[in-house]
Amino acid sequence: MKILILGGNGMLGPSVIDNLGSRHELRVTDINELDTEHDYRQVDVANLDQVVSAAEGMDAIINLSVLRPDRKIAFDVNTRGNYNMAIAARTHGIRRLINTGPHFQLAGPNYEEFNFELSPDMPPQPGTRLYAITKALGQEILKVFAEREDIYVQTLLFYNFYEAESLAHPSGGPRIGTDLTPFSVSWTDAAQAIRCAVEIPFGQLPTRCETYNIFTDLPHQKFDNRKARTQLGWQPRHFLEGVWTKPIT
Amino acid sequence: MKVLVTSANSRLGKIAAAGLTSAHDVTLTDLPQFVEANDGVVANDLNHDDATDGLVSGMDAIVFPGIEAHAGDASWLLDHHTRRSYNVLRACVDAGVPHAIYLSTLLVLDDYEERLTVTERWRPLPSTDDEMLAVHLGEYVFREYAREEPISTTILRLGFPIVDGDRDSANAGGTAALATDDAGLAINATVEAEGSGYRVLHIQSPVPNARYLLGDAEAAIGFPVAAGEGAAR
Repeated sequence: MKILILGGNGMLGPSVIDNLGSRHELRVTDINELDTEHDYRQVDVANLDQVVSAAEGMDAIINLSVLRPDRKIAFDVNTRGNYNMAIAARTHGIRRLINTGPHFQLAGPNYEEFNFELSPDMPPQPGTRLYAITKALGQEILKVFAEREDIYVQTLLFYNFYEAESLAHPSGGPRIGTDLTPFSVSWTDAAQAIRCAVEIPFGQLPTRCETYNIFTDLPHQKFDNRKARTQLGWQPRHFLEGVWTKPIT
Repeated sequence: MKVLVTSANSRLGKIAAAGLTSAHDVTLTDLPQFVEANDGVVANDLNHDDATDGLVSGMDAIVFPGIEAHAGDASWLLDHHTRRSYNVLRACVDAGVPHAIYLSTLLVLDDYEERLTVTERWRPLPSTDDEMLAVHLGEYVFREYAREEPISTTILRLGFPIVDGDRDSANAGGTAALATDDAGLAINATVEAEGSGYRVLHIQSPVPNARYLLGDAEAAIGFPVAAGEGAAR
């Protein structure tokens, strides 16, 4: 499959490229320069013409781009970036779109602070935090396109990532026995979930717009990841037990 | 009441201003490219800055036209209805403005058959048309602010087409039409009713075989009956 990756130099990009690189033909893009063995183009996801041009000849698009702090650029990237992806899909007849974002673009504070067993099929309540609402608006754009046009949108929600072996977290070293945000996953398992979304036949998707919680099996029961397991066939291999268990003396 | 109307030089901005000016202290603002010298409209980009904070300060309500505001390409429309509405609402929250009104359209429900009793409890079905998508997202931003912040927001979904003139003029516009006079009445009544958390109201003129039920608008703001009588007095 020929796959366009937007935001390939972002947090999740290297893991996804490692996972998919030997199985698919990748065109990797990012707003920054990137040293890669794959076809590379410098693309600003907020630039419609650049996204449409980069998507020519592709079979699928994966959007890993993200921008958090700057208000203007956050809307440009997180919201309009998905619109640009949808237009690129329409322009080139690309039917498979993989969108990514944080879990709180769906389950904002009004869910997360109050409830358990939070499902990816709940109506979104992102709240007003900039990152959450800009990503949620981007997801809503793709939902509207999926309802109106012949494209399949899968949104994979993530939050915290860990090194599988060292249990290192991006913000610091290992977090042994400290508990974790119960929406955590190893980098490699996260990338494997993307692969599942890329390779699942359309006929196995219940609708043209599906959302998945991607975190490893955890005992908290705060969120629910069963849909990713049953529909996508995703099986996490790293359970991060060292973080959410503590020694008893 | 002190009311701020954005996109004031757009068609709907002017309709809103006409409905409000006689009863309220109205400030008009628009993006600099739409403001002409001495037209009484404050030029403001609605960016995340002190100018926007100052613009909303002291207001009792703001009115943000969505449909029939300024035209632009998809990128411009999406930016305007998401980022700029977000900026205005954030400024309102910071300044303690209690009520923000977004002027949307009943076109987001146009896909439902005419025989159906479509009310505020029916899910919008926006198209991928640039303006429809942008307006749908504008509603989304206003909804989330009401959900999470200390501000009430009201979505007024206005009938279509919006026909110039009084209530009788709407009869020629079809079963979902809205006369400009009625639009002004509804906007004014919404401002005066003040906010109530999050509220969506459907607004069209009471034409024969009116397509959309107006029970919620009648209960919340007295439209079309009381508002129309008030105008008659």
